[in-house]
Amino acid sequence: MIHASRLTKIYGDTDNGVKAVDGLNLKIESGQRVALLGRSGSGKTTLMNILAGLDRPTSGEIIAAGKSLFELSPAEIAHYRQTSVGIVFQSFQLIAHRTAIQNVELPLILSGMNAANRKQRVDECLERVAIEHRRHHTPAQMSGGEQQRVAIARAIVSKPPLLLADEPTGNLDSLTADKVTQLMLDVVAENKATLVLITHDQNLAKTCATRTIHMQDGRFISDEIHAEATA
Amino acid sequence: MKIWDIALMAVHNLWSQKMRTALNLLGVVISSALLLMTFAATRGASDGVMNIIDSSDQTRQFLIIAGHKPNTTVPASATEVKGDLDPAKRKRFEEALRKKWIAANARRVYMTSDVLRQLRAIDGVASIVPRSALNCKLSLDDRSTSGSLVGISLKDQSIKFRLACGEIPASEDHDGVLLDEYTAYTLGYQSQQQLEELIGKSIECLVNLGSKTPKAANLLRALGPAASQIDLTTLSRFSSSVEQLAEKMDEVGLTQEEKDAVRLGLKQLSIVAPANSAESTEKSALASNADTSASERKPNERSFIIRGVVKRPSEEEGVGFLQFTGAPRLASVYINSLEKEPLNFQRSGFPGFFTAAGEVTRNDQLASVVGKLEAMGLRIRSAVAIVEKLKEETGKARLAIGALALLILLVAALGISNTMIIAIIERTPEFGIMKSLGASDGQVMWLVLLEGMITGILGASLALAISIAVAPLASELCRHYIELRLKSSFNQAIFTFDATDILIVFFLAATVCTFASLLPAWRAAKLDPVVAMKR
Repeated sequence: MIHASRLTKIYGDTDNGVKAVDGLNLKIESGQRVALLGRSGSGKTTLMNILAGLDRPTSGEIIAAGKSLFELSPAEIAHYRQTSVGIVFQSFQLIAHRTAIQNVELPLILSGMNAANRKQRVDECLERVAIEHRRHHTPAQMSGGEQQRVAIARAIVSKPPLLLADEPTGNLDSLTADKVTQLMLDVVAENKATLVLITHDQNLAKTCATRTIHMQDGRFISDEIHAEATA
Repeated sequence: MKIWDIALMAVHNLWSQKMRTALNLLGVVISSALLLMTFAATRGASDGVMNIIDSSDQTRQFLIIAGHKPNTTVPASATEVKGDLDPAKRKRFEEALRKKWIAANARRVYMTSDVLRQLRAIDGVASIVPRSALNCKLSLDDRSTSGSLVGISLKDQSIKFRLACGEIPASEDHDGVLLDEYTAYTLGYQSQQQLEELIGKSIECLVNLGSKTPKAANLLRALGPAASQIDLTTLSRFSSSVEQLAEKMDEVGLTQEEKDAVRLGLKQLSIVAPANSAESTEKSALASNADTSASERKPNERSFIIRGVVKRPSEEEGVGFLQFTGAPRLASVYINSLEKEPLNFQRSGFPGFFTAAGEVTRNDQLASVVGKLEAMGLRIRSAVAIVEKLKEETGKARLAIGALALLILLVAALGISNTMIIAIIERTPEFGIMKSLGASDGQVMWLVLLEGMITGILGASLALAISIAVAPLASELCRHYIELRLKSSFNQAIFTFDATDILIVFFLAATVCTFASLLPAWRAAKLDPVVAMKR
C-alpha cells in the first residue's frame, strides 16, 4: 500500500518556483491498477518520480513498503528502488552498449544475486516477454516494440510489488502498443503487483486501470474507480 | 552488488568504449614502460657491475694492513697548527699532524699469531692468509733460476681456474706448492707432458734474506746524507767492491783484529750479515725447520713438492682489475701460507705480518667483518666502500629517472581524469538509469573507480609485455655503447626485470589511475537520476 499526504513539489525557489505537485493526498491499495491522466505539465511524471523514490517532494510524505520514504538514507532509498519498484519509461531507457540479457540482469546484479540464479531469472523474463530471440542484441539492433519488451522484462525481473509505467506505449505504433499493453497487464496480474500507469490516452487508461485519476496543474481534479478494467 | 560483478561491468564498459580506453591506455603504457625500463636498466647496471666484482671474488676478499691501537688519544698540542690559515686548510693540516703523531707514538697492531687467531675466530671469516713474498733461488734437477716464493690462499677460486695440470695442495699439505708455468719453462719444462712430469717432484728454494748480500739500499741508509753526493753508478760499484771485500776478507793483508773490526763495522751498518757469530747461530736455529731431515741444509734453504702448475693470468682474466686484496697473483712458487715460516720475521724484523689477505664465506658478510677488523685498529681495503657507493649511485639514478617517469604517469593521469570526466558526461543517462534501477551512490562510484584501476593494471600489463619484448633490442644498442665506453666486452644482462620492480609499477599505475578516476566517480555517483535520464 502507498499512502501519500500533502505532497508538494516546487521547482525553483519556494516563493516564485513552479509547483509541479500541489498538496496531493493519495492512497493506493496493493494490487490496484491506477491510471494517472492529464496533459503535459500536469505533474504526472513528477508524481511518478516521487513515488519511485527518484525525486524528493518539497514537502509532504509517502509511506511505501511500510516505510516513510523520505526519512530513509540515500542507500535505503536505493534499496527501495532496487526491491520494491519497477519502472517502464516512455523512451525505454535501456543502456545502449549492453545486450538485452545484460540490461535485464542489471537490477539483479545491483541486488547481489549470484550468476546462476540471475541467468535463470533473466531467461524466464525474456521468455515471458517473448524476446528471447533478441537476448544478445543491443537496443540499436531492436525495434521500438522489442526494446519496450526488454524494458518491461527489466522492470519485472526483481518481482517488485509496484510497477510504474510512464507512457509505455507513447513511442510505439498502435498494433505494437496493444501487444505491449497486454503483456504489461499480464505480468502485473501474474506478479499481483500494483500498477501506476501514466498516460494521456483515455482509452489506454480505461483498458488498463481499475482507477483513473485526472491531474491538472499539479492537483487531482477527479479520481474514479471502475468496477473492472476492460482488458 | 558483488565486487566481482562490478569488475565485470567495468571491463564491459571499457570494452564498449574502445577508443576512449585505447587513448587512456596509451598514456599509462608509455609512462609505465618508461618506469619499468628505468627500473630494469638501473637494476641491470647494478647487478652487472656486482656480477663482475663477484666473479673476481672481490666482494668476498679484503686486504688487512697493520694499523695502530684504536681510540688512541692524541694530545691537543700535537695537532696545533700555527699561523693564519683558512679553516679548511687548518683542518687538513691538523689531520696530517694527528696521523703523524699516531704513526710515531701509537702502539702498532701487527698480525701476530694471537691477532691472526682472533681474526680467524670472527663470524663469517673464511680465511686469513698473511701476505708474504720471499725472493729465492729455485733449483730443480740440475737447473736453477731466481724467483719468488709467495704465500696465497689456496681457497682463492682464481688459482683453481689457472691450474694447467696437477691439483691444488690440501690445506694440511705444508710442503705442497704450485709452480708458475713460466718458471717451469725457465727450468726446462715446456710441453704439457713435461709439465705433468713435474707433479710430485721436489724443488729447492734458497731464500734470499737480503742481509747476506750488500745492497745499494742498505749502503745508502748507512751513508746517510753523504749518499746524496755519490752518483748511482759509483754507488753500485762501491757496493760490489764492499761485497767482494766481505767475501775475501781472509785474503787481504790485515791483522785478525783489523779484519774483525771491518767485519763488525760492515755488520753494524747492515751491509753484510754477521758471520760465524753467536747471533747468526741463534737465527739459523730459528730458521731451520723442526724436521730433522732438514738439519743438514742451510738455514735459509727449503724443499717443496710440486703438486700443480698454474698458468699466468692474462689482463682479461682480471689481474689488477678490481683487485682490493693486493694479493700477489704472479709468483714463481705458490705456497698455501708462509705464516709459520720463521724466515719471514727474520727478514722483516717485525713481530708479525704487516699485511694479510682475507676472505669471507658470503658476500653479504663482508661489511660486518670489515667493521669488526677496523674496530681492532687494522686498516682494511675492500670492495665495501665501492659496493656501497655503487648502490648509492644506482639508487640515486633509479630515483631520478623513476621520478621523471612518475611525473609522466601523473601527466597521463591528468589526461585520464579529463577523458573520464568527458566520458562520465557522455554516460550521464547510463548512470541515471542505473540509479533508477536501484544503484546506490557507492556502487556507481566503485564502478567508475574500478574502470580507472583496471585501466592502470591493463596499461601496466601491456607496458610489461612491450618492455620485455623491446629489452633484447635495447640491450644490444646499449651493449654497443657500454663496450665502447668500457673498451672491453660486457656480457652482463643490461635490463633485469625484478618482481619487486614490476609490482611497484603495477601498484603505481593502478593507484594513479584510480585517483585520476576519483573526481569523475564522485560526479557520477552524485548525479540526479531524473536529470541524468533526461540528457
